[in-house]
Amino acid sequence: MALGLNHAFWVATGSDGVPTTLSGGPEPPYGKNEKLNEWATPVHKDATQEAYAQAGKASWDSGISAAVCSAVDTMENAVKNWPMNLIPYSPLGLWLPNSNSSASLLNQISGFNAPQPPGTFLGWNFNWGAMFSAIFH
Amino acid sequence: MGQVNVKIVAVVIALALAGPALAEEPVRTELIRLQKETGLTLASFYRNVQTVKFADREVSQEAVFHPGGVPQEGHLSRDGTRIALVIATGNRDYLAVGGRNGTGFRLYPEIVNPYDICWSFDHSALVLQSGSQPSPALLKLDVASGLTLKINQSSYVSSQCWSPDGRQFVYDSGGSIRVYDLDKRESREIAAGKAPTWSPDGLWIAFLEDGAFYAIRPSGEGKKLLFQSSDVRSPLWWSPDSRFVAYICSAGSRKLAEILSSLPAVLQLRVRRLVDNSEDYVSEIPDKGYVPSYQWIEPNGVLPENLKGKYEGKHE
Repeated sequence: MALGLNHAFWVATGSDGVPTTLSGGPEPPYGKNEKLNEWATPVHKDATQEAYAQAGKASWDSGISAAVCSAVDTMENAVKNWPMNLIPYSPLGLWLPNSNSSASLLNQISGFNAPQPPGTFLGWNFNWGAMFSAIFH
Repeated sequence: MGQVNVKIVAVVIALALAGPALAEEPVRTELIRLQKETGLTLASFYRNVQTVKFADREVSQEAVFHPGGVPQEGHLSRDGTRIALVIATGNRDYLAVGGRNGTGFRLYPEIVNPYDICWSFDHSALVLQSGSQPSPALLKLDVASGLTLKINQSSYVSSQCWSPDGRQFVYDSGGSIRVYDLDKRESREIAAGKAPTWSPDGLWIAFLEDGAFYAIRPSGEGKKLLFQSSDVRSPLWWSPDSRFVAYICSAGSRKLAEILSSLPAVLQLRVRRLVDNSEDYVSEIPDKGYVPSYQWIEPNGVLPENLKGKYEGKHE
């Protein structure tokens, strides 16, 4: 956290039983050609990944139950099928999405409608509908 | 006359003792030259092959044809010709192994949710993690037969886990560096630490302990400090000739927007030449929760010198 602002990501366990970090970010990390990519990584892949998942402070928790499996699978599949190197990225998340925007999109896709995490006003309320219209039409 | 000869000999000896460090070019200059001459590079795979271009510190991306599903993470063999892919289909991931050119892919549906995949030098075997929490298993997979050997639980392997002769591999379990012997079917602890990698010359196993990289003989003797670095995020990946090592560490925030917002900062892929500790970064990676696993690829030098001829011809 810096200046009270946060980077939002998901830690999700779907029907495969594998806790997975779902996180977005720019690739390459800077420059004019940044694209918003998404990565699905098993939390227990290595110590680095475990540390990343544990460093975040959970702002919302669905709990573990069979009832949420389908929604989590939907969210994981969205990341695993993310159109890599297609969607433009902007760190401010105003006219172009940032990593918080991608976390917000997963929230919408899953239907969880979790409350906005604190410190994510940059990007969380990005208008994905307009972006998809611009890309796919 | 005799005095002059003595001085010449003394100068020659002094230059020899100084070693190659003083005479050598900066590490990235050498890497650029080697990339032109031999194709040496560092490569990773997430959805596609990403190859580091040392000259401009950028990566080139290359798609791999695969047998359906969506490839997630993948691991290239040391010569870059073979690839093991984690394929996502519906609610589970499975393993597929084939040629980087898309030929000869084989699916392993019994290998559920694989990750942390490590190729043997001769392409005949993989060590990997498989299975769901809370009980994933460390497996050795015979690529040709599909037979698996369960080694342990809750263990990690890097992309450079195998001994050059393919009879042992190194992994970490619960903060313990362990060498598994396939002949004896038993493992032994050689040190405390994590993220071990076996040098291609077979002489050293590098590992991470308290923010510093160490090397130790496979016997468990001769532990020595290699170097310290802040906020290390990866194992130490040995080059094919064991002269260079690559690793990932935090580079700190690079942009004002990142500083202000804590949006993903930047990691650096760095290379160090061990003989003189000359070091530079060769690529930058967004710090977005996924740290790629790199492999040195030398298209024309898959095997260490001492093993050439022994395994050549076994490659699929």
